Amino acid sequence: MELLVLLSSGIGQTLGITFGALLLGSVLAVPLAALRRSELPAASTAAKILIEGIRGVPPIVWLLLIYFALGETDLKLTTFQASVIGLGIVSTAYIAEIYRSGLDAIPGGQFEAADALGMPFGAKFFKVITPQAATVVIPPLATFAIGLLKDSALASVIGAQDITFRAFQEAQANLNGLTVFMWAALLYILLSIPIAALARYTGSRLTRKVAA
Amino acid sequence: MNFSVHNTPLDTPVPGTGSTAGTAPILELRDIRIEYKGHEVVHGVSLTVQRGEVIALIGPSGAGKSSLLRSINFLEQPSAGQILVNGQQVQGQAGRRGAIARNKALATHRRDVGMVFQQFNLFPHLTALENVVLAQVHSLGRNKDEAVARARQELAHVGLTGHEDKYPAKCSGGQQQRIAIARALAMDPQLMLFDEPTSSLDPELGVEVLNTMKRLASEGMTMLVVTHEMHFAEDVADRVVFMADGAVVEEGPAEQVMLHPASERAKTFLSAVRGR
Amino acid sequence: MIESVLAMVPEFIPGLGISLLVTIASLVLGLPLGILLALGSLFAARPLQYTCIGLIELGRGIPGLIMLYLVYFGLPQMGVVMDALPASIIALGLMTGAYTAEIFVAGFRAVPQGQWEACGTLALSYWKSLRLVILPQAIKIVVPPLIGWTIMLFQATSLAYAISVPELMSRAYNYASVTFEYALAFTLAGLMYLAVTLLGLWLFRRVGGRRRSLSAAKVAVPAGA
Ligand SMILES: Nc1ncnc2c1ncn2[C@@H]1O[C@H](COP(=O)(O)OP(=O)(O)OP(=O)(O)O)[C@@H](O)[C@H]1O
Ligand SMILES: [Mg+2]
Repeated sequence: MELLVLLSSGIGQTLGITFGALLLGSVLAVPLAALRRSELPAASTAAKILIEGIRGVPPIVWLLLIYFALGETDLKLTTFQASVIGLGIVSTAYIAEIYRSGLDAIPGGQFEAADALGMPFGAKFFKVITPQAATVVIPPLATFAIGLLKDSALASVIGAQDITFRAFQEAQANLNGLTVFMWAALLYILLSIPIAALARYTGSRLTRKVAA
Repeated sequence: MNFSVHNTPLDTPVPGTGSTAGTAPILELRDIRIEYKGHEVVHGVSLTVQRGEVIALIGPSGAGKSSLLRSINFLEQPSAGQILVNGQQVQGQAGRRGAIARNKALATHRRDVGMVFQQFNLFPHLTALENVVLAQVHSLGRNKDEAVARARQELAHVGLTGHEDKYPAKCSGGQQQRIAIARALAMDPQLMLFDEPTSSLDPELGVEVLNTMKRLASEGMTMLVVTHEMHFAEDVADRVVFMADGAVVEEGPAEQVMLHPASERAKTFLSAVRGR
Repeated sequence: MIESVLAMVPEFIPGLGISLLVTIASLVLGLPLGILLALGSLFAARPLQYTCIGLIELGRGIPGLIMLYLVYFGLPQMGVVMDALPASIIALGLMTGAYTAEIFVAGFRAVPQGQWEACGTLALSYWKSLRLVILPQAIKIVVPPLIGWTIMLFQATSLAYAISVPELMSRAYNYASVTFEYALAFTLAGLMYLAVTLLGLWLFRRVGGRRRSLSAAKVAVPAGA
C-alpha cells in the first residue's frame, strides 16, 4: 500500500508527459497531414519522408537526442520538457497518419456536396468534414494514446520522475523489483482503462450523431 | 432447437410416393423448419426428389431458398423436421465452426451430397487439380494416384483440361465455379446441390457454368438448384419449386409452373423477373 | 564532423549487431509462445482459454520498459539472477509472444467462413480442415503483420539501453559521454535504426503488405508497443 502511494506520486508526470506529447502531436500533425495530402508531389513526398523518418527511429533515441543534444546548447530543458518534446515529435508523425486516413475515409463527394451548397470553407470544414473525420480518427487516436502512455515510461530513462522512475528508485533501494514493477505495471493498465472507455464513449456518440 | 432424433431406418411408407426401400426417393424433406436466433424463416417445407430429377428452386430474395438448401447438408441445423436419403433418416449435427460434421453419420451423408456455392469457396492455396484431389484423399481415403487420375477426368468433364495447375486466383469466375463442380463430382455424390451458382458471374461466364450443369443433367445427375436463371428453370429443370416467405407456394412440372403459374404470388414474381 | 562520423561507425556497428541478435533471439523465443497463446485462446477449454486471453492482454498492456525491468530487476527477487543480455531477450520475447499471438488469432479468424463450409461439405474432419485448408491460408495472412512486428521489435531493442546491454543505443551513449558529441552520436544511431527499419519495410512490401507504409506494418501492432 505504501508502495502504491509512492508509485502514485509519479502519476502526475506520467499523465503530464503523455497528454503533453499528445497535445503537441495533435496540433503539429495538422499541417503535416495537410502537407501529406497536398496535390504538390514535392510537398506530399517531403511530408512522407518526414513521417517515415520520424517513425523509423525508436522513441528512446528521440528522447536522448532532444535531452542531451539540446543540452549542449544554451537551451536548457527540464527532463519533463524534453520528454514532452521528444515524444511529441514521435506523436506528430503517427497522428499525421491517423488524420490522413481519417480524411481519406471521407468520400470525395462530401467535399463536392459542401461546395455545391456554397458553404464557406470554415463551415465546410467544421460542419461537414470534421464530424465525419472525428468518428474515423478517434478510435485509432485512443489506441495511439494508450501506446503513448506506455511509451511515456521511457521518459524515466532521461530522469523524468514518472511512475517508472519512482519504481526504479524503489527497486534499486530495496531490491524488491518484482513487487514494485508489478504494481507499476498494474498502475499503467489502470490508467489506460479510462482512455479506452473514453474513446469507446466518444466514438459511439459521434457515430450516432453522424448517422442521425 | 435440437433436431429431433428418430429411429432409422424409417419403416413407415412415405406419403404420396408409396415408397418402399427399393424405390424410395433419393431425398425427402419432411416439414423442415429453420430459425435464426429464434426467428423462424422456413416454416415447415416438405419436398421429394426422385433419382435423376433436376429441380429448380426459385423465389424472391429472402424466401428461404438458401437456408433450405443448406439445411439438407446441415450447414443450417433445422429446428424441426426430418431429412431422408434413400428412405433413411439422416441424423446430422453440424457443429465445429458451424460447418464441420460432429458425427460419422453426417460425414457419410455429406460424401453423398455435393454442394456448389455462390462464392465457389475454392481453396485458394491449392491448384485446380489439388482442389479436386484433396477431399478424395483425405475424406474418401482414395490413394493419391487414383485421386489425381479422377481429378483430371473430372476437370476434363467440366471442360478445364489444361488448367490443372492454375491457382483459383488465376482463373475466371466461370472456370472457378467449374473447378468447384469438379471438386464436388469427384466425390461420387448421389445428389448435387447448387446455391445460385451463377449469381456472382458475368452473364457470359455464367453460360459456361450453366452449360456444364445442363450436361450433368443430361447425364442423369440428380440436382437441386437454387437459381435466378429463369431459362435454366424452364429448359433444364424437370420440376420447379416456387418458394416465398419461408414456404413452398407452388410446385410442379417446369413448364406448368414457369408458363402457367397458378398462384398470384408466382405470377407476380415471374412477370417481375421476366420484365427485367 | 566527417572524421567524427568515421570514428563512430566502427564503434557502433557491433552494437547494431547486438540489436539484431536480440531481435532474432526474441523472435525465436516469442513466436512459439505466440502460437501457443493463440491456439490456447482459440481452442483451449474455458479456464485455460481465459488464461491465455488474459496473458495476451497483459503482455500487450505492460510498457516494454517495465517488462524489461520486471525480468532484470524482478526475477532476482525470486532468486533468478541473469545478465542483461538474456534478460532483454526474455523480456522482448515475452512481448513478442503476446503481440504475435494477437496476430495469429486475427489471421486465423480472417480465413472466410466459406472455407470451413467447403471443408464441411466435403466431409473433411476438423483437424484435416484445420491443417490442410485453414492454417495454410492463415499463415499467408499472418506474414506481413509479423514482419511489421519484427520491425517494431527491432526498434524496441533500444529499450535494452536502459539495462546497459551493449546494443546500438548504449554504444552511442557511451561514445558520446566521452566525446560529448551527443547530437552527432544519437543522430547517427537514429539513422542506423532508420536504415534497418526501411530495409524491413522494403521486405514488408515485397511480401505483399497491402498498404504501403509503416502504418500498415503496424496495423496489428499498436504504436508504442
Ligand atoms: N445466418 C443468418 N442469420 C440470421 N438470419 C438469416 C441468416 N441467413 C439467412 N437469414 C434470414 O433468413 C431469411 C431467408 O434467407 P435465405 O438466405 O435463405 O433466402 P434466399 O431465398 O436464399 O434469398 P436470396 O435469393 O437473397 O439468396 C432471410 O430473411 C434472411 O435475412
Ligand atoms: Mg440465397
